[in-house]
Amino acid sequence: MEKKGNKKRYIILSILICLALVIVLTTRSIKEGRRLNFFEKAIKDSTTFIMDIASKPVKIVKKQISENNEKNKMYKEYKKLKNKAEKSKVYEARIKELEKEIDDLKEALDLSDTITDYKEINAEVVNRNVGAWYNTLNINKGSKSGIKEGMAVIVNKGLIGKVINVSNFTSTVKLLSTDELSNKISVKIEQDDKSVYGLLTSYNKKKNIYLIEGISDNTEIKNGSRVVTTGLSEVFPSGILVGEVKSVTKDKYDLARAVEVTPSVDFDDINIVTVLDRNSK
Amino acid sequence: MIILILAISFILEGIVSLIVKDGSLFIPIFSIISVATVYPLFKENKTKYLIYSVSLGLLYDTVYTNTPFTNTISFLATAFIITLIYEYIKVSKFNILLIDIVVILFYQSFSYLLLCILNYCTFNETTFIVNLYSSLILNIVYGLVLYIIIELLTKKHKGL
Repeated sequence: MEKKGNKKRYIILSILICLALVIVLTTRSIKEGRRLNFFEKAIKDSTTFIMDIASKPVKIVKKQISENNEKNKMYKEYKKLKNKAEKSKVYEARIKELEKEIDDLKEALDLSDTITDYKEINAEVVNRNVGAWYNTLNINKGSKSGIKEGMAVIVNKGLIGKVINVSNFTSTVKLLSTDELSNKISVKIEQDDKSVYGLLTSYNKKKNIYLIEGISDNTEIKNGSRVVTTGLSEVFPSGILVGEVKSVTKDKYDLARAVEVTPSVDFDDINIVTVLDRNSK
Repeated sequence: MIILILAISFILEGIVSLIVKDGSLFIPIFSIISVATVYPLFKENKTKYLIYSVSLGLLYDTVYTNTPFTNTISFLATAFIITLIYEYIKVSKFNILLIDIVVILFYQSFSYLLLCILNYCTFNETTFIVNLYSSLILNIVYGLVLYIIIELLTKKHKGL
């Protein structure tokens, strides 16, 4: 009888030790910025390669459908763009002039790079949203293409997230469409003559809005103002579009101002991304 | 055949994830559905079944989520629940439908709670409920189609 009781105790103890071990191992392994080991890299690279090939027909059909939709909108856009194109030569000349001026100033100040400098690495999305809670997507470029953990990722309309894991030929991108952002992003709200600084703290999936807290001063913030990154971190270069101000509210403690921002990016439609390497230029 | 079914479901999940929109009613979780559907092929060899489930979970973590052991544990727990359910019911189209529903609800809840306990994400009832019902339709249909294909293939093999 006593032996039976002891056996039961041992089993319960073993289960508890196993559980504790699993929790410790898992907590360690899900940390952001964890380096993948050799086996993980090999498995990820080979499987993503197979998936990249298998998903080609789907991507072609998707591209075709999207192109057809685009064609329908094209004529209206063409009329608008025709007017803009006439002005573009003037802007082009102005940009060249400004770029030259920046280079001259950098030389004069002996600056090798600034917070707006970066090199672009384009990549295709291989899969996304697998496991609804993760808010990540995998792309078909990795360390062999110069991608490193922590690099910012954008699409043509603005910022979408940052690289959290890299293998030789693939990388995982953590999207900003996560309830609570683990690393707050320093952003500025562009007003007419000055910028208001704050921190992008969370994303509300239901309303499709970001929340900016820790607003630096009491300047009036207009709806529709552009929100861009400040470059005051090692990850995100300056001037990357995040979204537009939707409304100004109070934070959850009803003490300070908070700003609701509509993302410039459609998180449902991400096929091609650009990874920004701040240190390469 | 088992490995082929699991592999195809695994790859198909990644491909379908490219098509469906975030927040749509069709979130694919084909890998865990394939684990539920292939159980009868193991002919009561539970150990082998659990090993296959754990391996698929580990592969899922490595390739899709970069969170080693979370899905390994979730796949193992779900596979264990499936073995328990099959002790009380027989394999049929209707029962597969019921098992798929139980598996989807259990797997999604278990994974989410595990990730919340491990501080990977913060618990949000709306996100939880939306993801729960968004996973039902597509995966039940996939489970049924997979069951019919397996049934046809098994009959064909027996016929030969």
